[in-house]
Amino acid sequence: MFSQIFILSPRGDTIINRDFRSDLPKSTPETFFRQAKTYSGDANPLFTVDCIQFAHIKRGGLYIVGTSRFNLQPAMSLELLDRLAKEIKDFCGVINEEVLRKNFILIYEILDESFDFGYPQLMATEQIKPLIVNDPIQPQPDSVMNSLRPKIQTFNIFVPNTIGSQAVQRSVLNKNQANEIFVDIYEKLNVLFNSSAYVINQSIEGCIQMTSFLQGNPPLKLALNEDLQIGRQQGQYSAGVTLDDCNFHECVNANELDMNKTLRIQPPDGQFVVMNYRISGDYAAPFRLFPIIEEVSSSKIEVTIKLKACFDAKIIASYANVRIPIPKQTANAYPELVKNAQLETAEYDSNKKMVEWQIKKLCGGQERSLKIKLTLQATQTAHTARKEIGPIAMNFEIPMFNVSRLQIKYLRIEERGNTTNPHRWVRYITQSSSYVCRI
Amino acid sequence: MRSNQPKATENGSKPSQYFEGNRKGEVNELKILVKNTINEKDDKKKREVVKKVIAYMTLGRIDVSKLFPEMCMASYTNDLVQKKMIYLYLTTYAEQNKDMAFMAISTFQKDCKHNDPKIRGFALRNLCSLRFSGAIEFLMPAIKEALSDIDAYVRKTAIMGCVKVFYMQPEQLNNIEDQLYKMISDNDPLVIINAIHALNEILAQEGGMALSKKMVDYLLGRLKEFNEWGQATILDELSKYSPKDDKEMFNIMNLLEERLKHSCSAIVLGVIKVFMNFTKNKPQIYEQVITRVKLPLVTLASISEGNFEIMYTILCHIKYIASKGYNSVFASDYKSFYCRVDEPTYIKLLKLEILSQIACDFNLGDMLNELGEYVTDVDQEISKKSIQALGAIAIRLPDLATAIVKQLSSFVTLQDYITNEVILAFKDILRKDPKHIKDCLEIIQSDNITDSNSKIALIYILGQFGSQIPLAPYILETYIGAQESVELKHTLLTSCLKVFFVRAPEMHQVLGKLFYVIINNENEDIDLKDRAAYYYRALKSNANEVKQFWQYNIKVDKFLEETIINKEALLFEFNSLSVIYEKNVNKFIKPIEYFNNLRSKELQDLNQEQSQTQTTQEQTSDVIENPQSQPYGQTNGQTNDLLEISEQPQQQMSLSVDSFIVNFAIDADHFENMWTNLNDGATFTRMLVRNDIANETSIEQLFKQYRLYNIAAGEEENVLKMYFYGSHQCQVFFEFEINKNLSTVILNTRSEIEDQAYLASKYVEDFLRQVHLIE
Repeated sequence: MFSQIFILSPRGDTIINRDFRSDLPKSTPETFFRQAKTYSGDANPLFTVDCIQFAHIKRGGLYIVGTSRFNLQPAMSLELLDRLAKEIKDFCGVINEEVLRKNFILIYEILDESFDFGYPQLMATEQIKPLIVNDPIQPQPDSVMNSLRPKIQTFNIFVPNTIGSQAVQRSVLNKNQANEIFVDIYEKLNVLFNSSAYVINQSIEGCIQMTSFLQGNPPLKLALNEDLQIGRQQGQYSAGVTLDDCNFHECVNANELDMNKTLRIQPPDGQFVVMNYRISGDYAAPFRLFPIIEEVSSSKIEVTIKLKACFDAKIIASYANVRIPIPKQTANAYPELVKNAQLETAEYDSNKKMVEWQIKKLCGGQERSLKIKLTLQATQTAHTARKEIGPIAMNFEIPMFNVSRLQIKYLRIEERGNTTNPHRWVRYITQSSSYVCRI
Repeated sequence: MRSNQPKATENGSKPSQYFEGNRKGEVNELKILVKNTINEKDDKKKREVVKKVIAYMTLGRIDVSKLFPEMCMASYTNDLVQKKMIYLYLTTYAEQNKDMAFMAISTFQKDCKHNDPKIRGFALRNLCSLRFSGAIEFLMPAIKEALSDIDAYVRKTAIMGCVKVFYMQPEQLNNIEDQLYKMISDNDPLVIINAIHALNEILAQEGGMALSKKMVDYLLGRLKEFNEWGQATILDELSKYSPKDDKEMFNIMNLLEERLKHSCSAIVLGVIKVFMNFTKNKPQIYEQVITRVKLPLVTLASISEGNFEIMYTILCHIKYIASKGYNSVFASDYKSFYCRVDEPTYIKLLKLEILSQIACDFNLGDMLNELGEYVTDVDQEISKKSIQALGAIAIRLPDLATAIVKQLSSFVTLQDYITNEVILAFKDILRKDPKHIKDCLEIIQSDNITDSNSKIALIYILGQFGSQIPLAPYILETYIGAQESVELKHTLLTSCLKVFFVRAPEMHQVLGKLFYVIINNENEDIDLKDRAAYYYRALKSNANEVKQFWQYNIKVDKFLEETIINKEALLFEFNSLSVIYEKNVNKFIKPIEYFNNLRSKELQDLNQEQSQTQTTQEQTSDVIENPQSQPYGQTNGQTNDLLEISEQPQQQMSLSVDSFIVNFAIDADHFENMWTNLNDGATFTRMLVRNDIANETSIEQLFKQYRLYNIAAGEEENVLKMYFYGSHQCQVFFEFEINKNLSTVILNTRSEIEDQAYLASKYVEDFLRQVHLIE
């Protein structure tokens, strides 16, 4: 059970501060922020200072922190904070500093219904909804776009402007809500190529995520591929879709999954993940990278990278970014695109010693290439420096495409006598999680 | 001027304005603003003003507690939006404004009887959060009524109210436990869960809620009615239960097994904890349990949906299970623990530790390549950790060490910090198995070593393997006279001697130079000087004999690093912070008194600050003629008292019953052994003032209440002598004597840690005084 819950901005300002038990010092937000800054990267989600326990998650650049004097259940405390973040997202549409500052009273309301004396109370969006009296204040239209770009640009966090994602950045309190449900099948790919372009590790982490604005939360029935199989036997290959393992949200009844490949769902309001799954088997990687390194002279290296989109020509990747780390001793680097390259940029960041190659749109079957001319400082020779090139990492998103072939056959509303026919939006999205090519 | 501002906020054009400004006069301005708006008819305007106050409250930079009377006045409103905000304010500042808080109570009371259960519950929740003792008399009747409210929302709030009262005035609760136990059969799941939480807090002294078989069956039967947190709570309760027989155990486990498919990690870990606790004395089933729970754990650790925090927790638990000797269970899933580009550092570091634990003959080939790649990672922490991981594997799997040593050697041309870390790894590998020295030669003779610890490791290696490293004498020579730590110089001295005995002709001059530099340096560490001088004289008198002394062979059979089973960790409670911090629970959990101390200190600092500003204010007015100056002087005196208290070091914090382990037991031999070997820690002599309980049985009972246990006792000629022991952070031992002839009480306390003996002595003195045995 938490003693306090507070939310801090990336700079450590207190945006929300709720003390439930008054049994810890009031200075805990400062204590937390000071300690969190001692880590070279992100702080550990759980740590202790002066026998005060701190649990935190980071969402939209914000620290959502719970404190306690008890030996907490670690998973539960972090899941609770995560649930709180999702509630805030459900009510405010998005979660970022600006929105929280505008809606802090609403957030206090949510907090007070979600926790009493630090113990979790009502935490489902539809349970809290009738108890909330404040309306969300929506951010300015142009700031929605701003909020999509994280304040602190890091190597990996890139929240793309996914098609249709605007639609789900709405508050569940919106009175003129359409009766509809969004279903996303997200797949995150993890692929590791070795220097001879051979795949040495690959896996898919996927989930079926719903954002429900259905009136009255009617029970749903979701049907998946008929050739779906769960659990992989060693040495056994099947033609169908095989998941290594999966798990389900509280609202899901998976008893019929083995028999009929259907899930029964009692959908809550707002966003939730119906099912997570993981696949470790072989699959055709959607992109292939072919790097060639040439030592032109003892101080000059030329790196040529070819990128091939190995999927159907009808499918278009919405973006594909490639990052190539180059030797620390580089004096200068000139990335050269091919002539007439469209919707493509390549830049050299001399601080990070990194070349970033961004491709805005890429159709299946197409091939692109980039040449980087490196000049080294006199202290290092090309022969030793080439070891420092790479690994090349890719970020991409391919809408309406999934590698696993897991499909939603239908999504039905189970209520008898139900006459309304709400909109059901189904999307497939494939993203990179860790797409790396070693040199 | 300011009153115009809220309007601007309505259209949201200035989002951050609530959080702007930090001037001193602002509180007063705000006070006037609130006062003026109380009679305002437009609720929208009033809302904005109240909102502004809450914004300042959140920021905490200026103290808005002075607005309390105005906010109390404002609480007489029917607008729920305002009411909610004002209640939030009132509950936050009631503790500091006890006198005025009464003003607010009547509104709360009225709302507790409202027709709408939402408002009843909401008012009760806030009423119970008014943290001052004067509220109690209004509280208990309201809670009692609400416990049997027809609406579950009110009932569950009332239960939490009981816990709040428990922390203010526990005696007011008046055996509420029975009623709480009854409420576990409520229809509403949240009422049940809150009742469980409440019982656990109220009965914490007795170890929490009592769990009968009937109760277990009942809760399990209704398990699916609870939300995720409710289920996790029940599972945690269940983990304390011990089934009567195997049949019951398997029934429960079969029932819970499908919960392992849950996507909520709190539930999955909860189930695993139940399984582990049930089977902990049945090694075979226990192992089956571990194998069974592997899949869901690996799944939760891989699927993070951007939730790295949960992933971290799961990985900590995997590491913990692996460290209990079940590392082979995860060996085939090694690829799941490869680092990904999008993961934060704390995940990668943890994965590297797991990889080094689960490495074995069939996965090592792949793993070596993978770890080798991390060595060149841009993040230095990852790079270093991967080298440490390789080193740890080499020590644990000696048959495969050669390949690792060769790989580590290949990193020599890379960055300095890599070389530094590799040397450290080599030191341990070579200690374990000296034969690898031939593969390390290149890196040992490289000149990229910059870090102090790595230098020490290098010097150690040079000394130990001097005969096989051609350049050893010359590398050692470069360190002589250099500006280095004392620790390094000690190692250098030892190593030079070792090499001298095997390569005297080359080392003769080097060693001479070393002795000269150390002995003739006025500022040198005394200990080091003494050592150098001693060796010098010893060598001078008989070099051969000294050589013989040195050439002993210490054979080390077992290295600490080899056993990955962490003994201490075996006692960690699964699904608790112990597993995350890898610390025993008593190292990071303190009893409530500790925090009360922290808080009162904080409050004192605040008061002190305030009274200082007051002082300056009053000094500006005419103090001398003012007859009120007397009380002012008193406040000042009080402040000084407070100051003295706050200056006391924290360690003087007293022990409480909770800090002692219940039913701690040792045998008489151990006691005698410890008692005779320990020095006197603390002693006191006090006058005996009460004779009726000065007998063996009563004293034994008394001490037992305070979790100190009797091991021996005897009475001779009106002198009662008793021996007690107890354990908190360390064990403490007491010799207790009542001399009825002299009417004295003497207590001798001994402990391995002297401070603890002192604290324990204070602890005993306090409770003896409480029962009036002594003055």
